[in-house]
Amino acid sequence: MPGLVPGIHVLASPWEVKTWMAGTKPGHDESFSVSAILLLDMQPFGCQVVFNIEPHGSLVKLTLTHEGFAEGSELLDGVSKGWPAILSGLKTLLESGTALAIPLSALGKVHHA
Amino acid sequence: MNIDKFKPAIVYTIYIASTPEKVWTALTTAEFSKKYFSGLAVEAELTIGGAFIVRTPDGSVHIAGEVIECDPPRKLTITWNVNWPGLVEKLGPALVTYEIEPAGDVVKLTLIQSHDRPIGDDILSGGRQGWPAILSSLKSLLETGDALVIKMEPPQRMLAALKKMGIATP
Repeated sequence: MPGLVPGIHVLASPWEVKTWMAGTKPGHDESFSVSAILLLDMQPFGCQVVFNIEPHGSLVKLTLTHEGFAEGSELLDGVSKGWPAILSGLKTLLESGTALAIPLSALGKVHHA
Repeated sequence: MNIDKFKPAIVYTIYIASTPEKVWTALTTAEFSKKYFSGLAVEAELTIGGAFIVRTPDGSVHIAGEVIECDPPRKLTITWNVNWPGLVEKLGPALVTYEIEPAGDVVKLTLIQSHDRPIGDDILSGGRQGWPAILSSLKSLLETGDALVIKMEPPQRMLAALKKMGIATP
């Protein structure tokens, strides 16, 4: 695990990293062929977060799945507001070197699909 | 058109270092859409009842819609009807709403795809595959000047489901 994506396991604290998988796909250049899955078991909330990182041509496709919420969970409402801001900031940081400054007050309402 | 009975099926929010006016222009003009939306050209007549057309690079109509709500640069709701024979008859119309809000020095863009009836996950998989790529590329275009070059596989799961329903797909 160490060295594959330096620093990403910091996200796990204080949660437990359950699974870390990396693999290569045949026929692809090694440097673009690493897929990784990071699964966080978020005790005591009872829910799980999965980051799925896949090469996509010269880009990276990051899929975040956060599931296992209790019925009517307030946590679901909070993370539904939070994750888009975090992932948007991450994308800008990696593409431009500077993160976005998004005020907490701007996170606002959530539309439920 | 009564939009009260439409319920959100897909919602994505993305924050963009830009202005509401620039995001609005990027969503409603071909000059921008061709760069971030797989070469597709958006032609929007920005008045209620106006035409909202998305053309493929060869000029044929891919999406034929109508402007339902228009409040520049804050909110745009359009019917988003993919021009495949039998699709609207079988699935009903789709609504797409873009909400643009200032968020500090950046912009919060929320995309909502709504339907007037329950739509299965197989059909919705098309939007779930496509929208993140479109919105990610739009964000990169506005922030860096360059859209992303995203090689997309055809939405096989959705196409198979449509075919099963007797809807002709390319």
